[in-house]
Amino acid sequence: MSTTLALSVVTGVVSLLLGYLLAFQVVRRNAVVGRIIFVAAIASLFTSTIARALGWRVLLGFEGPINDAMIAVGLISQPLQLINNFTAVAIGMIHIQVPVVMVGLIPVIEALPRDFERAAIGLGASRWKTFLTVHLPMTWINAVPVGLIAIMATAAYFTTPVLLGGGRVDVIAIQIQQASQVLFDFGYAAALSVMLVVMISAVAILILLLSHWRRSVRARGSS
Amino acid sequence: MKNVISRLVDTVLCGAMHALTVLAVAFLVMPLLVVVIVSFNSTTVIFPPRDWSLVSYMQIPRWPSTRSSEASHSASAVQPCRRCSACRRRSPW
Repeated sequence: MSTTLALSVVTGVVSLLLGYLLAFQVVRRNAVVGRIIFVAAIASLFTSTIARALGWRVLLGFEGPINDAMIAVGLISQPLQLINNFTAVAIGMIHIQVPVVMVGLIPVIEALPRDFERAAIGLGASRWKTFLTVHLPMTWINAVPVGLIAIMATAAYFTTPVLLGGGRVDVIAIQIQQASQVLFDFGYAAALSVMLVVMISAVAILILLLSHWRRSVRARGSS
Repeated sequence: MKNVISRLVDTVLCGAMHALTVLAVAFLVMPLLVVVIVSFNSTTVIFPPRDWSLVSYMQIPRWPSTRSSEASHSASAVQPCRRCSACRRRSPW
């Protein structure tokens, strides 16, 4: 349970940060760069989860390009154990969730009028300050639910932990599969399933509360 | 002076953001490229349960003939030698 929770939170937070960055670049950068980023994300989004996990297995393997590159540069003398651990599973899950979060955040950033940005720059604010004082305060309230959706989606992942965790990362979905198909302990499997549903429902309720709070803030602002 | 420092910080942070964007795109694309490369060149990786080459996927498995001497070699050998025709014909499965 704690592993699943930790994986979900790490994946949600990192996916939100990277997804926000990519969505921002797609919307605000020039058309060519934006299209390249968008095509890369969409190509990744529509590729099978299993194919992507196997790609990561090759990349993170003992004789994979990442270990080879680090040895060639001189950072390490022996290959590191990059696969079959928590980090590998987190990388695989982030890779799945980043395009999803990015696609979810593009309309959020696009809805922000460019006039605010122009006004801030016109008044002498730097690009970074414009981002911190204009973009972020106006988009975070819509961006956080997308990150929470990523957390919800990650909680029930099975394929990626199996392929990249190598049985060492004990997420709740693997435990349910083991209990129901190996141990035939259906009571335990049912209890784990209920725990998973409760966990996902808690995040869904958090999204609803955030949405309700946002509506009340808007109503207060307009009145 | 304050203005110069502010501009410098802005440039550094924007540069870092662009660098992070490039890394993020590479992060998204790298596994897909690896899958494509591996699918065309099975010698780069040995991954169970199948030989990862398009050629092997397109071939219909042929079992070695029992009459030829090569067949006995092919059946007994642990590793395919890749020299005789029986080993070359051997199914990737």
